[in-house]
Formats: sequence, structure tokens, C-alpha cells
Amino acid sequence: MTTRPERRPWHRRRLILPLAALAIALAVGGVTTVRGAQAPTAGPLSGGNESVEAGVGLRSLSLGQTFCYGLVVLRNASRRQVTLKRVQVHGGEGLQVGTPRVMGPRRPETIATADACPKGTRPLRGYVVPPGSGVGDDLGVEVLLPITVLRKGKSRIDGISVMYTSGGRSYWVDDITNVVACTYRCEARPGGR
Amino acid sequence: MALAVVGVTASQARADGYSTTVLSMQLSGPDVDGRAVVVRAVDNTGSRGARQVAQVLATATTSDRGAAVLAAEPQALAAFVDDTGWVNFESQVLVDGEPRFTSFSRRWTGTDWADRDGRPAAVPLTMSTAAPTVTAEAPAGLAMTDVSVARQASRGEVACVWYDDSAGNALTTIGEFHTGANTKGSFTYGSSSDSDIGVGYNYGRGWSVGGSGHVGNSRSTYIRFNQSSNFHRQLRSTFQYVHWHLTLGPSCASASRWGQRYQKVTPSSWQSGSELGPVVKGSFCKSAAGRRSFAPNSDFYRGSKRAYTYGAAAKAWGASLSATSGFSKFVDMNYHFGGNKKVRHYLCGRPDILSSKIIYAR
Repeated sequence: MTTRPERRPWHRRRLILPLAALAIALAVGGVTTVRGAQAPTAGPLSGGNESVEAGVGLRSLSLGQTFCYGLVVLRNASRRQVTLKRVQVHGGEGLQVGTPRVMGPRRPETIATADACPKGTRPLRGYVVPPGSGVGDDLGVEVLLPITVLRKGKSRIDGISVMYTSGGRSYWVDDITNVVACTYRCEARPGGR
Repeated sequence: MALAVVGVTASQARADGYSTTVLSMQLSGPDVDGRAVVVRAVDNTGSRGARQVAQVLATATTSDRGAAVLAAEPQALAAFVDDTGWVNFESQVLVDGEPRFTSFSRRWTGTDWADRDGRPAAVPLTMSTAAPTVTAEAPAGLAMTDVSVARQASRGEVACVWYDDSAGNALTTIGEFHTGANTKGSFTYGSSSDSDIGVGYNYGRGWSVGGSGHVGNSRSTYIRFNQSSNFHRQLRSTFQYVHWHLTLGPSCASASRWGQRYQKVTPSSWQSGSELGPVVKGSFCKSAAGRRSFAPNSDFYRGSKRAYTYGAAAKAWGASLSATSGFSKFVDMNYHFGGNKKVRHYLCGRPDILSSKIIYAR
């Protein structure tokens, strides 16, 4: 896991795309979609998956159907509080990512995927992650994204980045876990049907 | 005593991060200074009756604190690189007038040699000068199969050189797989093997573990364990092991030890084949910590993470050997959660399912 100061190129696994040519940013209520690239360094938050080839998939979805993705859990092992600002989505053509939400450590369940985001969430923008969050028995802060399918076939998010500020500086937490959504019985992993 | 290192090239460590250090050794125990150290690249596949193919890369003498650093240029080792980019090595340290061996493997990253966990080889590896701990004989289990024995000892065997005298297959634990309710899943191994398996040494006093060797040979196919709900077992595949012997002589031991015979068992190659191992009992994913829930009709897959090390994963000629497989492009897991909305689908691991060595399910 890596956090990095704002703002550098996104490294897709095995495929580093030139930022200038491929970045198409679309700001939607705290979410930015980037088809392309950005890159890494140290801030107080951890929790993103930056090295493991992994993914989740939702299959047989209907057009317009929304599901919830929540595999990213943020931890703050530092002595500084941080304030979450926004989420940047890498890839994801054919998907609409709604306003990002978070759930604090006292949640009953940590979801990877769900039919809908749970009740009791709070907006990610402005959420303060205190020191010690996610340390020991603390479950950390779960990032939740409502994602809606806009087109038929298979759509893939290559990863997400969460931007936050601490001590007057901005940082990113990157997570390369893929999110796949299909309108047929697809397989999530790359190369699958 | 000053550190004296022979065979260390100028490029061993440079400011730009390039380093050819293949072994940084830190001896512990009594009398650690002034020990002669040799590192060889070795081919563990063997040929019955023949000497082990090996290449001396570097020699050194430990410092007064028991440290030694040895280097190897990657270009010189092309003949020893396996299908997955790994090279097997064996270090030899003279203790009490006899050689002690440790097997290890490294992969060249482009800038340095790294171990299985990605640690640079420059990170010191502690080795003891104490007498090797003799492990209990391997428990009774499945017998070795397809054992082949050299027809006769090689004429004119050279002292201090390993000779392949037999080989055989043994079932070896390659992983552990769990599925919960309303779930199908698969554990895939191959088409290249990706396992680190223990190397056993017998210095005439019983078998002891002396590091590990990487088995990275490719085969034309992979093995996949397709399982349905509530599956909790270890998984096995077949590996070939080679039994070697070495006779002590002037070039590696003091005169009182000449003629003494050593044995070792190394993992040689992956033979494919699959078999279910023991059931793993327990209650899984009861706690919210490290647990994730999954929607109906959803999937999860994971690769490229080192898996758990299984002690006594295999036995060969009485040596009990551990094994670790990686989750990589060669080993991965898939879960397909069913559409039943009344069932909750859980995976869990510590600290989480992306970085845990084992993924459990409920």
C-alpha cells in the first residue's frame, strides 16, 4: 500500500499509460474518473492494495442497476488526523460511480460487494480519520462506492485512489483491485469470459 | 579479523541501487570468525549417478563478527535460471572441520538479487555454527513413487561433490482452499510450478532442514481444484525429489573427517497430478476483523501473494520437508458466490483477504 502526495501518474498493473494522452477526468460529486494514469509516496493513511493482483466482479446485472463496492479500508497508524477529500476512479468506462461514502470502525459488516450500500454511511468528503484508526481491533474506515451499470457487456475499474489532506498537504492512497461489472455471466479476472 | 571477500565484483553495491550481492551471511553461535564460505549455483534436477551440476560463484572468509558478503553476476548464471526466473544456490561453511550447507534461491530483479518475499539479498541471513538440529523422522505417510536408483556408484567419485544416487516422487502440499456456503471456487496451480520446498541434509546424525530450493519448471498444463460449497482442505500435487550423497575429503574437511558420507534431499521438479489433502477443521470467519461480505452473483479472485508455509508438506527418504507456494500468475484462487439472497457469503483473512496467506470462508 502506498500513499502519495498529490499528484502523480497512476501505475496500472503491467501497463503504465501516458497521462497526457489518456487522462479524461470527470468530476462527479467527489469522484473523478480517469482513464489512464497516475504514481507513489508517504502519507499517514494506508490500506490500499498496491501489489496484489485481485478483483471483485458482479455478474448478470441489468442496465441501470446499482451495486456497492467497499473493499478499500483505510488505516491511520500515524499520530495525525487526516481529512478525506475525494475518490479518483481509474478506468470504469460504462460505469457511473456515485458520491463516495464511508463507514467508521463501528460498522456491523465490512462489505466487498453488496446489492446496495448500507444505511448509516457518511459522505467521504470531509470525513476525519483519527489517529489509530484501523490499528489493533479498530476496523478502520471503509470506503463505499455506489456503482451503476450504464452499458451492456463487461466494464472494468482498474483501481481507485483516495485523496486526503493532513498537515496542510495532500496525499493519495492507491488501490489496484479491479472491479468488474457485467450484464451477462462473466468472470471477473482478466482474460475471463 | 578484517572482512575478506573474494569474488566480489566492483558492481556488488553501487549508489544507484544496483547490487550483485547474492548472499549476506551473518553467522551466529560460537567461533563465527574466520570461517571459509563458498557459494555455488546448483542445479537440483540431477541425473542418476552423475555429479550435481554446480558453479562456484564466490568464496569469502567471515569477519570477526561472523559476517560475509558474496556476490554473483546474473549474466554468469543463465544455465541455472529456471522457467520462472529463479536460481538455486547452496552455501558451504566450514565448522568443526566439516562443511555445513544451506540451500537458498534468488531471483534477479534487474537491479539486485531478491528472495522469495522480495527482500534484497543484501539483507543479512543468519546462519548458526551450532550443530544442526536433527528433525524428527518424517511421520509415516504416503510412500514415494516412481523411485529410480543409479545403477552403480560413479567410478572415481570426487570428494566433496554431491552425486545423484536416486530420485522419486512424493505428494507435496501446495496450498489450502476454503469455500463457504452457496459458493463455488477454484484453486489453480501451474502451468509453471511456483513452490519453495525444504532441502534436507543428513550429516550422519539424522536429517535436518537446511534452507529451501525453488521449483519453477513448466509443464504443458495446470492443475485446478474445482470445489463446491463448504470445502476446507489442504491440496497436494506431486513433485520429484533427488537424493544425493557426498564424501568428505581434503578440499572440504579436516583429515579426521575424510571418508565421512553426507546425504541431502532436494526438490527437483513438479510432476503435476493432484490430490486432496487433509481436512482443515475449525470455525472460520466468525469475527468481523479481516472479514468481507460478498453480494449474491459476485466473484472474487486473487493472485500474486505468497502463500502459507506448510511444515511437513512432503517426506522423502525420511526427510520431512516444508513447502511454500506463491499465489501468482502460476497459483491463484477464484470464488463464485451463488445467487441465493438468503445466504451470506464471507471470506476472511488476517489482516485482510488481499494480504493474508490463507483465505478462509464461511
